[in-house]
Amino acid sequence: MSIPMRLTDDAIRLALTPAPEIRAPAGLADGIRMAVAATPQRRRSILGFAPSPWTRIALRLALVGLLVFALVGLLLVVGSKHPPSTLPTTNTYHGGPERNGVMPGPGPTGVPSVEWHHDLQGPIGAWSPAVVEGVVFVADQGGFITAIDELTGRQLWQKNVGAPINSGLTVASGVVIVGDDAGLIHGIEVTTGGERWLYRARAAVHSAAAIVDGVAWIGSLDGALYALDVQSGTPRWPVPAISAGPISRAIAASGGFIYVGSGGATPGDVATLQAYDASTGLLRWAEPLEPGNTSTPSVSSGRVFVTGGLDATSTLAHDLYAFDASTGETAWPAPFHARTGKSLLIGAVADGLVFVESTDGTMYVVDAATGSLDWTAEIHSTQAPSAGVVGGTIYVTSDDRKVHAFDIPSHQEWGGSWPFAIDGAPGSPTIVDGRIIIGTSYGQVISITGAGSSSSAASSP
Amino acid sequence: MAARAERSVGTREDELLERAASGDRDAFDALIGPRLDRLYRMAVAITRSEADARDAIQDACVLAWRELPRLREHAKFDSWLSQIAVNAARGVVRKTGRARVRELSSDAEAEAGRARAEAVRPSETDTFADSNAIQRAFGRLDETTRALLVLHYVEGSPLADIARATGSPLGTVKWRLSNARRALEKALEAERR
Repeated sequence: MSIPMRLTDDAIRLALTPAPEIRAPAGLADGIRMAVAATPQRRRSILGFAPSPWTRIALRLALVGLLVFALVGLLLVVGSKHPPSTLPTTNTYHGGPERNGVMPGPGPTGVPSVEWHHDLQGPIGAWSPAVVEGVVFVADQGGFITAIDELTGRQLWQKNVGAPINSGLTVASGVVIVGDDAGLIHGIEVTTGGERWLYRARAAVHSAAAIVDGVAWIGSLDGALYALDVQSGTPRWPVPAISAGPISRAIAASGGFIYVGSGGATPGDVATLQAYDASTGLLRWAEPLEPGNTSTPSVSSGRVFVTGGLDATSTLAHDLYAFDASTGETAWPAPFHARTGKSLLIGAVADGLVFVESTDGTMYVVDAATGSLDWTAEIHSTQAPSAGVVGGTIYVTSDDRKVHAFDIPSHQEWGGSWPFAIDGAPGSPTIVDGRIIIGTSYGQVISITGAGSSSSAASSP
Repeated sequence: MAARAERSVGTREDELLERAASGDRDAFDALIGPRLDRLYRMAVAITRSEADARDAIQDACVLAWRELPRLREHAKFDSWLSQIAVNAARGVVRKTGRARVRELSSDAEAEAGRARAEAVRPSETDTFADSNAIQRAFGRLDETTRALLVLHYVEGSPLADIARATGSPLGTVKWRLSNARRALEKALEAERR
């Protein structure tokens, strides 16, 4: 009979400590030297030195001051009425305010591996993390917002907002903006996680905000489209615009317009795509869609794309619509629909193509000019597939716990170690600095990088 | 005198970091060289495989080289580098599979382990057998739990330092360490069944 052993600190230390004679092998230093010689270093800041946090704050303030000064001067001199600009960054869901899934990249090539993962307080749905200046921001269904170092996966801060979060967040001008299931819209300090302001909507907020000229546009299941000052949370106008139905997806912005899809899964709900003027808050156009919830609009090359019929119990084929972004005129002779009766979601719009993913497990690639089917690929996802495009590659997440990569010109899926399997169903990817950063249904944020030759790993099937 | 020597070391490190961050590969080599054994042993402790540890440390050093210009506080270089190495080792464990059995089982290693066991606890004859059981149990743990146990028990990192390195509250680290230890106990029970 064996005597149960006592697991003392000394016993653990003794067992886990490698033998003292274990040393780095002789060739390791040489291997590192060779690999370093072949690796370009990240470019240092334009300052030429690594500034302290206080110096950085001071420099940023000075830079912001200069920019404001230059902008005011420019407006005074030119006196023009250019449409308000938006932030072309990964500061929000699906790559930026146009929500077209085009990412700054570069994406990982070669053999993929998990660089780090970070445990959160709850699962993450279909939304993507925001990555701003080396910090990953993510909201989870446990009701927490977490800021993580992009390089190491180390947690910088975590904020409990007190209710589940079911949308992506948006980072702008030092503030993280996100709504929760209790109907509270939070303005949170980027550097500390402290609450800067709170605004109460009349129902849950499942809509990632779009920022235009210091105003956060964010929708609620109460059907209202709120326009709040990013710095203070003060409403831009006394009364928000009201849609015909709940707003359950992210708001898009481009060229001075705000695009909002509204609808509802209850019979009788009216579904529409609306466009508002960002400078006046007035409705510019609205187009009816099929019954059901409406997807996040995606804007690209003067067109806005949206799918309808989401979350509705229906065996009908669901549609992908295309409209002129300025006038709302339909851009195609008829909407595109897959004949499967399954939901369609826009993965990305790039290079004149709409990558629309069906919950029948197929990605349909549609000509953005005509609405005709160009090619298809199997992605084996039945819930909420999503994607990001970098150059000629589209990275697709699927709920069979995989990340796929396709070469767009050849339509071929990368072989070798792709598709890459991960733990949990992935959300929407954010692709920056050679990494794919994804939240999962297991409540983790994962950073995937690649190593080795891209040509060997990216071989055709 | 000692203070002056410390300042001199600090200044030299700062110079090396500054030069390495500006693209000087020799300076980076001079920074990594003295730290290589410690990093390697830490990776061996997590991966339980010398081959995996070698891959992990090479990846970690290349990543550190690439990202060094973004390190804003030179004083944090060691904890930053350790964190990258821990992540790389965890990544290798994750990639090669959690159920991987410890590979450090050569005769020389076994002999060294026996000698260490005798040196530490000469009166307990079953220490070496227990160490082997703990090592096998450790091999059953996930990469995150392994990393935490190694940081605490092998590296001797104080909990407050681990909390700072992981950005977690001290209470959370204590709770995770307690869970990690419980997981090791459970794995050990499974090993001895």
